[in-house]
Amino acid sequence: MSDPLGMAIAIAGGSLAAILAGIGSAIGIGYTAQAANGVLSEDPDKFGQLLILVALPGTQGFYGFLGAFLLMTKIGLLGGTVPAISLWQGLQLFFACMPVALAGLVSAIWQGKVCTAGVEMVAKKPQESAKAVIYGILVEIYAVLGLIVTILSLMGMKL
Amino acid sequence: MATVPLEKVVIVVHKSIKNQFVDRLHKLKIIHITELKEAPVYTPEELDKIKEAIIQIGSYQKKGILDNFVPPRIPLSLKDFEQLTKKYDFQKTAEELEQIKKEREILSNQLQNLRNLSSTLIPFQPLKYRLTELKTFKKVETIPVIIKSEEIYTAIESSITDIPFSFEIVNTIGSKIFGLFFVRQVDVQKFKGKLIEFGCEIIDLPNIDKTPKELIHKYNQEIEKINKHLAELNQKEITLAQEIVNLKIGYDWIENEFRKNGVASALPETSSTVEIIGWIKKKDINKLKRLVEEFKFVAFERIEPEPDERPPVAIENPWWSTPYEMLIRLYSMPEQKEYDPTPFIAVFFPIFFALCLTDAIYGIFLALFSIYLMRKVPGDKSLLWILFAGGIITIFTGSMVGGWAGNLFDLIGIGFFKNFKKLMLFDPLTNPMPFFYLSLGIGYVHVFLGVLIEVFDDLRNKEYARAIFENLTWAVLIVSLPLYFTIFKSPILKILILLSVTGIILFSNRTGNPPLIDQILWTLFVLFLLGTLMKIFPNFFKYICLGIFVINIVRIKYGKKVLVRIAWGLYTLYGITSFVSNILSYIRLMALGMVTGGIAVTVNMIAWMVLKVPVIGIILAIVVLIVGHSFNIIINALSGFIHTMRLHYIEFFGRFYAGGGKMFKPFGMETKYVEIK
Repeated sequence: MSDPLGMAIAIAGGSLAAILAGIGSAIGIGYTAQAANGVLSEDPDKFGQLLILVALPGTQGFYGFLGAFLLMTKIGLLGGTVPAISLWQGLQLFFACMPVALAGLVSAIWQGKVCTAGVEMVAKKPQESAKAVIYGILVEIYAVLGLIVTILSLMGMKL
Repeated sequence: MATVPLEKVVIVVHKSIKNQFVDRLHKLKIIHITELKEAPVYTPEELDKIKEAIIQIGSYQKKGILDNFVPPRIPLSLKDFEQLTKKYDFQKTAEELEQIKKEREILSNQLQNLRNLSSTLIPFQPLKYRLTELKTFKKVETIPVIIKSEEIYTAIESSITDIPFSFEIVNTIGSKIFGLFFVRQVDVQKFKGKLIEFGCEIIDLPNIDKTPKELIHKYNQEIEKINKHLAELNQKEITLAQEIVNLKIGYDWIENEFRKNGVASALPETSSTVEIIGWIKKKDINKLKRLVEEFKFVAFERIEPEPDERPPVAIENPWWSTPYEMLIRLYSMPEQKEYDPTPFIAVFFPIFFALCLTDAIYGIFLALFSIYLMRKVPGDKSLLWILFAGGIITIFTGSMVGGWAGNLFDLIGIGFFKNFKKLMLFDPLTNPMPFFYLSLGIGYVHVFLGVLIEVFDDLRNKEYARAIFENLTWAVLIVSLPLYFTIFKSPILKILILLSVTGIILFSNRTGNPPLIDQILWTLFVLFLLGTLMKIFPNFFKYICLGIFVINIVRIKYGKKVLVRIAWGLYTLYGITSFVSNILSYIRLMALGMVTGGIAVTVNMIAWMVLKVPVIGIILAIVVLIVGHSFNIIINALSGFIHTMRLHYIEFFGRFYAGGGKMFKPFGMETKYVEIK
């Protein structure tokens, strides 16, 4: 039983994945890049070391995009036949997108904070930059787990 | 393998040859000096000057992308290093650069000053008088001003009636009026006050015997001269910038000399000798012997360490596992008594890393790229070897899950490439369960291995009770418990579970030293109680159990300490949850592995979508593929590396490795820019 509302809800899920995870990454990178620019003003040679820290919170936005992209292929927005989606199926697809959206949003912001502290550490002790990256990556895993749940749910769902 | 045996030695040197001897010892780099007097640490001024100079000319150096991440080093032999520093006068270069910096600062200030002056004069250019002429009146003073608009001027004209004045417009630019007020000297202060009230800006023109136009011309000439001078200075700086290599070499040399002298002056001394006390690798003793024999007034002797002294720790491993020592150093060096886990890391690290990456093409790329970097980048190559090994194993894990840059080979659709897909054992995106079990299985083996290592470590250190009750019991339990519940309900497994649980409850904490008889009684009580509950012993054992319990209650005065042990033991038994959570933690291997595949497939899909764009489609698709897959490799190799590290540090090391040893740091050259061949 096809329902236009079902389709709308499904698209809302995908959009939220891209939006929320994207917002998280933007905020996270925002924090880190500001701190990094401050450090660069003193010592431009640290660019390479800081780049990794600044880029880390950016991955969540990409994961959110990936979730949205998979949803779009699933509901046939990118070509192919558009399957009939009922209201319930729409809701299912919506909830399948939530793990990457919310885990991405929160983890990106916190990763940004951790990496900002890392930038400050690199400013004082450049030789310890690897350790700062390690702590940053530890936050990342929860976005990865969210993405996996989203991917598996979307793949497993029958339309 | 593992920790290297060290010897403590004392070397006695006559003061007359102290410096020569310390210099030779510094070059050998074999002894870790432990006894040093407290000495003030400061950086000498000359070193600071060179450092400043290096920063000053650093920006002229051309840099590749790679140099941003790995600063290049200057390869030199020790002999060349010494000779170069003797020949080259880096102090002179550093001072010249400092001079340039100072001069440039002064000139820039002057330049700014002149520019300001000339910009105030420019609006007054139409004035045909020389500026000194404006000050030649006896009773009248000239006030040059900027008035914001004509309206304000009319307002001034109409409101200031009590002071006689006259006004001459010199120039108007936009709405602004530039002009001269002429006022009697007696009224000047009052008049200026009024002008300020109207928001006029009173200008201070220089008192020079020239017209504004001439003056501006003169200023411009001076500005040109300064600019020329600045250009010359910059040119000189650029020429000096070529000396940066020499400055860097000099910096390293001076720093080492300085540190060496610092150590030399901090050595404990008697009236005519100094003592060098420290640790040396057993195999290096002969080197030391040879060195000592070269000098007349030097002697050395092996000594026993103090009873509570903790020697530094050096580790050495066979070639296939040396790169992984880096990961141990990053965590913490082993204690002298501890087992060095490097060989185990060498086995598991590449496998875990490969499971996180799971893409054959990425593996090939990573292996090739690390070989390329090894040729390019000087210095420690441990990290690159680790990446290389990880890349090679990734080729296998990648073909296991059918990852060849995602599903690129399916999309290209050439038969030859499609054959690679036949190597696939399972597709994690449609059938993730095998990957899930694989991760858990690997986690189980890894954690179990950790417990076993600790058992052997305890046995080696002759702590038998600890080995049996704190570790072997766990090893038995975590093998028999899952086996019993999943595969076969054998009574042998049941008994093993019973024995290990009893062992953990009663003996994992061996404090208090209660009487032996109570220990035996309580042990039997727990054993029979659990045994009856688990239906190992026949039912009547519960009466025996009760009987022992009554005796225990009677003897409670003596057996109290056993009860404390049991309480702690139960708490320790609760630690089984940490095994479960540790093993579950290995699911990250699956998650990271699948994310690689997911992103790769998406990149390919986008590339095939843009392929439909007419004419430039193929170029766009190639760009998308390159950028997308590069991103994927970087982010997943980084994640994979760090999470593999975490699994080793937390889940694996947590079972047996405490670390905390002091690293063996031989006294010798340590350089920042130079790499000694």
